[in-house]
Amino acid sequence: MREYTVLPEGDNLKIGVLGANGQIGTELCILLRKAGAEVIPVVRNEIGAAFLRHSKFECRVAEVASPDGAKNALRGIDVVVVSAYEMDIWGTSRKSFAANRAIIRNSVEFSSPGAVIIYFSTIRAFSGRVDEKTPMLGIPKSYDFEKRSLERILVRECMAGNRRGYALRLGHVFGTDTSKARNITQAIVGRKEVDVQVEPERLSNAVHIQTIMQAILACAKKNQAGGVYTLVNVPQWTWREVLEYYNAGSKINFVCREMPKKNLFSGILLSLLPLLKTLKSVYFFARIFLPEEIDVLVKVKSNLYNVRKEIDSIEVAEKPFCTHEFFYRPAPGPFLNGLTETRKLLEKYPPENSLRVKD
Amino acid sequence: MSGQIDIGIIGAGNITSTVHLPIISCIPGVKAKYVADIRDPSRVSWQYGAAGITIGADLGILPECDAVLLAVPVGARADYMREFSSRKTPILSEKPFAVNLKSHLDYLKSAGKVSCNYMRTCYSNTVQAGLIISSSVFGELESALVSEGGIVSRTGKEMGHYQMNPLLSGGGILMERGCHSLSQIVQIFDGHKFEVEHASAVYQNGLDVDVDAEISVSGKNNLDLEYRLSLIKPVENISRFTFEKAEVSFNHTVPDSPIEVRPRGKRAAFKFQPGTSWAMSSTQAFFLKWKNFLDSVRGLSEINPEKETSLDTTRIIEGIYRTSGRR
Repeated sequence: MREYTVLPEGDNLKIGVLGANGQIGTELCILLRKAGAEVIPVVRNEIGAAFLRHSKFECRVAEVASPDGAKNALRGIDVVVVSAYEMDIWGTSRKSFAANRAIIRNSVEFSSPGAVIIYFSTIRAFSGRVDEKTPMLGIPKSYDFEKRSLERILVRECMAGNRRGYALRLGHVFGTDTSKARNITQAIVGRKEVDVQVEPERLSNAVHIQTIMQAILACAKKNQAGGVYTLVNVPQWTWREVLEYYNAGSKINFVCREMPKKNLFSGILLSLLPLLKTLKSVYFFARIFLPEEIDVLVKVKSNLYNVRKEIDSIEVAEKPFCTHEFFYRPAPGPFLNGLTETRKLLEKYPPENSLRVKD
Repeated sequence: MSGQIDIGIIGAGNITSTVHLPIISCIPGVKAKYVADIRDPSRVSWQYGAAGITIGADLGILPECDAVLLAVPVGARADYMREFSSRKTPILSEKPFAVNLKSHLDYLKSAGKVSCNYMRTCYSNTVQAGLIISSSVFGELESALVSEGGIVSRTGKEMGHYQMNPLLSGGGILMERGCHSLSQIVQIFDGHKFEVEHASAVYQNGLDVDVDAEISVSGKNNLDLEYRLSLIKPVENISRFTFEKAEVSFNHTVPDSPIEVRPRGKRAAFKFQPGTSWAMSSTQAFFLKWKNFLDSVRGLSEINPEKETSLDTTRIIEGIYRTSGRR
């Protein structure tokens, strides 16, 4: 096993959080500080630092994708948490992919000798293995592909730079004011009774920021082998447990609708659907040559798609609450060892009032 | 004026490439003649068949056109205002209109036809709220609260972005976002007078990141309006008007946000969907602003420069900065 420098124990740990003004980063900084670490938020611009400075953090403003920025941002830091992720309004682009690669490379190159690098990946890296709605065949989602590539870069760079590196595939992140938590609380809080379309005992892949915080400290303090790990609540919470955690007195009815079984043909068709849409005009011309059976099949599928879309857009009181995350399979490991039960962490580090909108 | 209208565009930044050029290209009889910037703008201009001009010291090289869009930071706008005012070219400026009241009044004095892109004033819910208030359908208006912002998250802006420089941006959240919500307040309370009674602000590196103000509104309605903007507190995006008989609220940052009406003393509220004759999306709002401006360029309508550039908004902003002790 490789030998790594053992980092300072307890309160002497200096943790730099890149992308500290993100949804995860902000609350993570607060929790890490509460746990006794010295936290150095790193953000890209002055406005991004506003809340963290107001909360008495000493922020570093730097562009880590550039070598000079990384040098400034990472001096004296024992643990580099890469929560930063560049994207544009459409998601992943060539430019953003290059920036994300640079962030990881610079995080390794310009960190102190012996620093631990922790990169936030996602269970989306499992792609169709966890997400029932992502076809296993066909063109992969660019985000999933990018995250896997960035993990590989991290592992390679850390090996070459003699750093301990961890890529944590985060599950669905829940925090005081994260979009996932808001989605659920808006759906159930304040309602006497609510129908939720999910199998209650289905494992949720939820991960609270408190567990992420603990995972970071565990990676930093123990001489655990670096690598790629899945990070979800400890133990994994079911959807029943997630909903009951956020429930404030509503009666929750679990209703299930069977997902249509996917076969190879429908999987291929689903993958080709985006391509078919762009070839719409070609198809309409080709109809005069195509066998009637194919024409009928396409008409039926297209009609079904449009009908479903129309129905989904109606706000009907009886419509059960449903979200894309309900259709994920449990993410496989490996998992980090020795993490505290998430419920105990939530009791010790309850939700942050400073992040909550007050009524 | 009949025939094609040629537009000169100063500033090839994000708002020009993602909003203004696409909208101009969708308006019949209007063409972007050139795009000018201090950095080479040809990457943006060629996509819309416009000439690209790199601006140097001499603004005289900028070609004549029928109207001009100024899409440069407010702190860098003065020279362009002067140049095109001297040519009597109609000007549509990006928001905020001016860094302070003196500049605003100077621009109005020298410019001919001039307007400012306070596009949220075209939002459906904003127009409807104005109608609710002017009709007094829910009785006397007792109080109002307008808040916007929330804890700053990812900004999508690089380190050297002009918004990080108070000399270019004119200020922080009050200039960048506050000018929008204030223009909506001025629109909703059309014909009223405004006075900043009290204001406090938190500044970081010369940028205001939190503003709390009380604005007295007087006219047909007389009330104190609570105004909150923040990047450091978890505030809601909401406009809330409390009338004698009902409370009316909506999210003024979302063009098609429904208006919720809650009768006083009742828990249940009902929602009005926005009307379709006003903007239901930000693209539609930008388009309506352009339409109003171009109608005036063509001589089809008159615009009131003070109203179009929302002079009251600049007055309120200056009042807040002065009262909160900004240096």
